[in-house]
Amino acid sequence: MDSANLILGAMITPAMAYAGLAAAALPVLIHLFNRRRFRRIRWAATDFLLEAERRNRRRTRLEEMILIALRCLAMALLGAALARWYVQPRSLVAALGASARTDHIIVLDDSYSMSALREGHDVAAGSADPDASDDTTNRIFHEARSAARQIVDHIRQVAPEDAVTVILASRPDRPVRSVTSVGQVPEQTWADDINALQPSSRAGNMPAALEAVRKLLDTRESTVRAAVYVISDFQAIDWIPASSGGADVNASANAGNVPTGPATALAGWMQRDRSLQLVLVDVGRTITSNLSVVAVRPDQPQAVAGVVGRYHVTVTNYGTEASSPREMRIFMGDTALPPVTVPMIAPNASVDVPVELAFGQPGSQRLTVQFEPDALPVDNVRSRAVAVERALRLLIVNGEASPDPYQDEAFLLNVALRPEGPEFSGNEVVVINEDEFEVADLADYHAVLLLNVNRVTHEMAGRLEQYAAAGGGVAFFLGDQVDAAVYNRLLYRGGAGVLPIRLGDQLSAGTDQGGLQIIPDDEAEARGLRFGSAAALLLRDARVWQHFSTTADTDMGAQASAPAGSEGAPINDDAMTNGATTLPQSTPADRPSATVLLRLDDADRTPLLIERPFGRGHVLLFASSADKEWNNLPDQPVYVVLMLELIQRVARSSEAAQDQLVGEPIRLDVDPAAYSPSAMLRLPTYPDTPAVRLEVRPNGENGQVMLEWANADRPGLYQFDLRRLDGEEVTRQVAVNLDPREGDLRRADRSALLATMGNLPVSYVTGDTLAEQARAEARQELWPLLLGVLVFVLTLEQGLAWWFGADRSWQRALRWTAS
Amino acid sequence: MADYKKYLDPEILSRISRLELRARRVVEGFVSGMHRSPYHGFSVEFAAHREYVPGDDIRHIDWRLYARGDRLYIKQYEEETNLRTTVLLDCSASMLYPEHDRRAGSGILSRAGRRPAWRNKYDYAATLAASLIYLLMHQQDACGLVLFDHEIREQVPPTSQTAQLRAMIDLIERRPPSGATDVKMTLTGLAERMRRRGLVVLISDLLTDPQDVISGLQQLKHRGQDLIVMHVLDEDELKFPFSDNTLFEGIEQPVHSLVDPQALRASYLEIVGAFISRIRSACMDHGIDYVLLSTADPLDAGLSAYLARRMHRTSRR
Repeated sequence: MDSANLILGAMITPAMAYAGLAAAALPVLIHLFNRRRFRRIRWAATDFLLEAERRNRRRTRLEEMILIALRCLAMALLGAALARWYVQPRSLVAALGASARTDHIIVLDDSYSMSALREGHDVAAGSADPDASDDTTNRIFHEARSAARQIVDHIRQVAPEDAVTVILASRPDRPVRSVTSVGQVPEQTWADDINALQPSSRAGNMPAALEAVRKLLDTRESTVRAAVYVISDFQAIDWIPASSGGADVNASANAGNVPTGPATALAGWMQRDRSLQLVLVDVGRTITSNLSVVAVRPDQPQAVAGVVGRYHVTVTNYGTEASSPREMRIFMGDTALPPVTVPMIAPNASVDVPVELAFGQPGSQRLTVQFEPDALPVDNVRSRAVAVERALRLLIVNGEASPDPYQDEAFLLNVALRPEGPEFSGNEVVVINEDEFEVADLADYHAVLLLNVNRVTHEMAGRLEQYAAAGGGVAFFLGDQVDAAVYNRLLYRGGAGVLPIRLGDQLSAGTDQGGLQIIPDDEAEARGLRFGSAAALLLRDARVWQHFSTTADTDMGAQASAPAGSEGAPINDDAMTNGATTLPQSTPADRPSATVLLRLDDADRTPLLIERPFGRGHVLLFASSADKEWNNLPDQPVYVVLMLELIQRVARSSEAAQDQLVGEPIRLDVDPAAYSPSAMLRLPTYPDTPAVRLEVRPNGENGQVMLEWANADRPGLYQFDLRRLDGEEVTRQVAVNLDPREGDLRRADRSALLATMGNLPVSYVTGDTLAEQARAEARQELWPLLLGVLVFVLTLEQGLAWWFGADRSWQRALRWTAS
Repeated sequence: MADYKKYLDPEILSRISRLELRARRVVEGFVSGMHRSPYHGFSVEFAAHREYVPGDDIRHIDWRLYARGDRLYIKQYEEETNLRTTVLLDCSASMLYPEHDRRAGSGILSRAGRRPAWRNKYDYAATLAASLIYLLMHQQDACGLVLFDHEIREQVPPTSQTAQLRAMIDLIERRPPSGATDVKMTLTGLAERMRRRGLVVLISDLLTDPQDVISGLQQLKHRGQDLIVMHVLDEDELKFPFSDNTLFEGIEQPVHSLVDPQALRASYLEIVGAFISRIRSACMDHGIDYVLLSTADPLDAGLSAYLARRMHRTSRR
């Protein structure tokens, strides 16, 4: 637009201007027409008339011209006013050389909710998955791109010298394009840059985006005028602070002037006597139905090939209407399983859909669940990386071996862990004696079970602690060979050891009494004991007549200066005596992080089965024996199920069973003693994108070394190909999924949204009216001024017409009449 | 046969009949009447003494004065004589104004409630002339009539025979106005012809060069004539009340002008005012009575007012 156009402006209804110009000829035509209409009079005093005409000829013509000109001007002004002539003050100022530059920053919300389908583009049932296509013109983000182009085009027209920066909210520190003068970049280049943008797979983080905008403005010290355009679907979860976690999306508005929400960052920049205009460009639409797969989690920490495992798929209905029952498809790798029906889900409610499946092969597998596409197809699918074990390798340390299997401490447990039958239990059990423990490589096992072990050494304790801390599982089964004092001193160590609870006295309930009944702890089911609610029934006939009492540590500090030989004192084998030290009465095991699963039905409700996390692993204590010497639990049908479950609880979790969200860095701890320091990473887009070589680096959080990939910006499976030092290649997969919260498409109420802006100067426009509103705000219409001038011109014309035609002769007539 | 009643409006005549038109100056007359004669003859009224010079009639010597002063003086007497009046009536074409219709809606601003009584100035002037002639004859003065435009068209010598009144009216009737106006030519011609002093009443719109008018009047005045100028103008010519676009076509001159009257009114009035002032001033300077008469005004009122003023002035001498 040249300077003339900048100055002269334009018109909204040019046709009226043309009509006005045409109408401006009317006074002339009327004048000419009137001159053809006259009276004829035969006149005697011709000399006087001619003289008068001679005297007034010039004045008369001038008066006529003035009046005609005023009338023509009035018609033209009327036409211009009706044409809504406008100028663009900023461009006028710029054209005149004055500085009025504004720094424009356009923020596009590229969170994955922006890939929701546009109005009128909803997917019909049975249609192809729109995500299968690269075409995003049917997405809300397409309108966001359009809005961004319109804004840039408008700025190019009205203020080509202004600076423009386009950023994506997902990566505000890397602008799409930033120029100090928008006119320097060709229009097509801008269009190409913007058209190439795609919605990300990240959740919205508008506070971070606007904070980045604030920092960007801070770096531009010369900027005093800024305009920030936020193009978004304005989800309540992103903009209304009280809306997270399913709270009311239209929480009470901010009654004060202080901005709340994401725009808070900008308020600080304004306070420095700068001018800021925030424009909210709403391209979203109200979507009443959206199902989202928010989680896929296993019921058990390990997956074993051939063993059925249960998984729970959580589906949330983010819509405002109840969803209809529908099928959920399940894939193990690329293999489709029979679909599972998801029941009707009420609005803003979730359901857990159990899925049972068995992976056929060990190794890194993928589990995917998926719905049919809806308004937001991307959150209808979720994956989980599953490290499938060939089997759980269990090491049983038999403290009382016997050739008689019914006397053998480990026989019954061994059988329970590997029951005969066509179904593989998933466990491989290795049984060793106490003295073979020293040479056993604990790292080969998922869990180590110590059965009535007497010989506990300092080294054993240390190895067990190290093993558990590294993720392994340790289970203690007691018996008559257990020296409580030794256990307490070496394994419990005042709570610092691997034994989950302090052992008390060995107690006997008496066989004549039938023993003590086993009851589940009140919180057993909540703590995941699978059959917690039925445990009482299943354990109804189980009895314990011998057990160790246990006690919680109420004063951990009292052990610091414990005398030698007592628990907590430095280990001294000479101090190992008969363990006749009197220990405090056992109390309910309320030690932090130690949980009780089963108790004895005595007056004290003595803990029987106690577990506790230890490092990355778990430790477990059964305060009675594993065989039938102290209880009849092995005789109960529940024994097998109970033991299998206990093993699953305590055994090491499958390696690298990691699931995380898009945008989070992937960190994989690597044992440098076992693995090569480099690995190859296959991204979800592999083989379209080549594998990436990664080198290990220190993990500052835990002192380990790790492989790290910081650019997990799309969902899918990230596969790390490692190599062990012995040459074996190992694959670990990490499933990266969308942040399910972004699937909550409820929109922020406009008034609540604006209330969060406090006293920030804010404009709210919708995408379809953006162009018109931008033009309207950029232009200054002149019709009020023109109408004012028109009124003045008409008044002037009337006044002059009266004055010109006034009978001034009466004054003269009075003079000569009186003379 | 002229409808002489047309020009002798009974109402007008009734108003002026009680008035006299006296010569303001002492003029000659041939019928003994009320006018003063410049001749000091044997009239009954003593005028003044003059020292005797040889040759005077000794019958007029004032012996009483001689007895007082031992010097001889004769008496002079003012002689009343009849007034000889000549009415000059302008019958040029300009006296035909207005020729257009004055009815309401014709685009002329007219005074509310007033209907023009005269078709044109000539009607008015002719009536005025007839009225004066009647008055003069009624007071046994001789009166003549001259019709003129750019030259003398018709002339009736002054006579006191009332029968001539109809002849004059008939003449007025038969001679429609035409031709251009040349007052100077007429007045100059009359000045040369008029041997005896008398009263000359000029009834005209004087729409000609004012200097010509003044020159003509001066010549008559130099000949000792007593002059009265009755300047007859139409109300339109005085007020210029036109508003619509008007094409003015000259009655005497072949000119036309399309004008917006409202734009010219002020100047026109100024010009007319100046013209009238000039004529009036010139008349005053030469001792000529000047009467401006508008055709919109009642003739009887204007004429009787003038006659009354003149009577008052002349009776004081």
